[in-house]
Amino acid sequence: MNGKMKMQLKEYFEAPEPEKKQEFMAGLPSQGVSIMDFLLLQAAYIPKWVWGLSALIFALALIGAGYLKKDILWCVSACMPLPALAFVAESGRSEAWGMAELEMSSRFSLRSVLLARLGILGLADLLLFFLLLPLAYMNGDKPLFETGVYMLCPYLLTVFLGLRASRRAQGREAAWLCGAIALGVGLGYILMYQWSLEFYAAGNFPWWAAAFVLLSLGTAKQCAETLKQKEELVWSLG
Amino acid sequence: MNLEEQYDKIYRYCYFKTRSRETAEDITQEAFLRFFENRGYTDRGRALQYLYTVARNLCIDEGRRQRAWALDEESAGVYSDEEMLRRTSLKAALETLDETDRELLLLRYVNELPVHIIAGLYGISRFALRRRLAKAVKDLKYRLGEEDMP
Amino acid sequence: MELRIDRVSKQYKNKLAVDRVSLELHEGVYGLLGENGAGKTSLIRMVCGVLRPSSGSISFDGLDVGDEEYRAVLGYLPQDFGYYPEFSAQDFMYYMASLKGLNKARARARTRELLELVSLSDVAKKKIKTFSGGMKQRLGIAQTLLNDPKLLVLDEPTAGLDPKERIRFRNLISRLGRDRIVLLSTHIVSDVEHIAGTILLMKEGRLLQKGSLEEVTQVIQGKVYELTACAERAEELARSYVVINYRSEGEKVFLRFVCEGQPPEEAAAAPAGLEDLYLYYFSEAKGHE
Repeated sequence: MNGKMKMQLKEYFEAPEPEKKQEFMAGLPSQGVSIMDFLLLQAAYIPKWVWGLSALIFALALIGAGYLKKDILWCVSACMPLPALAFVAESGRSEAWGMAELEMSSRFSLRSVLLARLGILGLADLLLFFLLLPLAYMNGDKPLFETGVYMLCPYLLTVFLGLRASRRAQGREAAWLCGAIALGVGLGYILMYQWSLEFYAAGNFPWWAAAFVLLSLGTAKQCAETLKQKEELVWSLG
Repeated sequence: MNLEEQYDKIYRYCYFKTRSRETAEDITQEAFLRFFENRGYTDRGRALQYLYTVARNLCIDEGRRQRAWALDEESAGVYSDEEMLRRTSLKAALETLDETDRELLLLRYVNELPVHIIAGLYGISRFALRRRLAKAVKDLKYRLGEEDMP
Repeated sequence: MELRIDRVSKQYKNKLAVDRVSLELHEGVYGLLGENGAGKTSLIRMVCGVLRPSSGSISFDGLDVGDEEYRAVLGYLPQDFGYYPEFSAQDFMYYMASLKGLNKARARARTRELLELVSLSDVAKKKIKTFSGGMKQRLGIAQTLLNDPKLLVLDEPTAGLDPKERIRFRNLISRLGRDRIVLLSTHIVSDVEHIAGTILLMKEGRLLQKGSLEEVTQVIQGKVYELTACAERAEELARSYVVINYRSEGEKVFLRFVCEGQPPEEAAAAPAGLEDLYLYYFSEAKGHE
């Protein structure tokens, strides 16, 4: 079956022009949304401050790169928990505002909504990462790959712990816990760097690499678990 | 799912089966109306299956109602001699095939329906369908090859 | 149209909230009546796919409750719902429309239509946090209709509505019930009495009764009595029978109660209503099963 034959077949099966088509089309109930439309719509519902935060971090990094030189790496790394926090916060937004039940029973259930939003946020964070990476690399003294790993670890750690926490705790409690985690990771970074110059020593890199792999897998698992949990109301006893 | 595109395809299919522009259009519209009535928001895969099933059933019902079908003339168009020759040789080749084979060729290669939907429509396995399609194409090529020999 | 609930149960750690409930619902309005307890809301949530049954199945015209197509024909008003901060009524409707798969044009059209229907058109752009309880409830009702659902499930829908709004709501539901399955869960007996074609009585997770108003009150027809007596006698009687109404009228007390066997002499029989039935089943007085 080649293109030529297909053309010929098409000719053979040609039908006379339909006459009432336009009229019919005009009268039809309009269609639902496509997946792309859905994603775009959901992107619009991600709170604006999240985008602002990323922009701010990027701007600060740009400015700071000039002053901090090679210290930029750990500064940027210490900031990574913030977008991570936004990511985790997004996962709990529906429950926090009492929208979960409504979302769960809609055609595009809570799960797809969350998948869409977290997916978009994840991509945005990835973009932020790729914008910050050259800044950190060029001003620093480490290879590109290592720089990337150093930056991603705090992000992954925050998301990993944060998602776990938001599944165990609820509402206000969860929010405080996640905030504390982000703060803890960020501060922890700064402190460890100050105390131990060995932190970013080349010899230690294998540890970082291992942590990176473990955290990546762990975070992916936590995301899956969180999404699964949204499939039904878990905390209702009423 | 592009409604307009699917309208044309279903209409083409119905025309093939009923040989009447008016009937084909009515059946096409009926199929879409039922689709919206019952499942306005389904995803693409099930939608096509549903539309074609309804269309096919309506065509079969229509066929039962009018046993004698007058074969429509080719739609208006001016063809060069060469084209005419080519068209008639393709037509002749196609008409040596089984009615069902022609229908399958229409669905698969002109309407570009996915294999699993066609298989579902006829209640046969994808394997059987692919085999049948391959045979039909082979026969067709053979017939056309024959015709093209000097 | 058929909603089939087949031997559905919900078991929590130490409580059986729903106990093997089986139901077949067709077009019309169904009133699910029962105490404020686990059973009703758990069943409602299972029908809406928000809670998974421990056993049994639920399907609508062959669609399983877990299918996306099932949710596509469902409209649900939960007992409690929130909204994202800073949302106006219109924002809320648009957001729900996006979740229900409506495209922008349709979302706009339906939102306009429905806000009009529940008399919220003039506050469409106002923030929900400025709304009264009744207004928020009307908004909740509006969002359930966005996708023109075939299965409409409403959990305590008239909570917070004033009498006029309640009447408008009842009329709306009656209209909708003509070509849809409407399942109303409530503990407000008068709502059920006025709009439900079929009454479903639930107690302790089990379906006690299913039927029209007449069928369901059959159980206590001829068992409801009224009398007016002095306070002491009233106290005495109140201890032996299920009391439906105990009202002081000056020095005397008016008593309406249910009596299974021989009633006290001075009592007069009264026709039984749904409220009587409800109290008969759900009060904690002695002398009742």
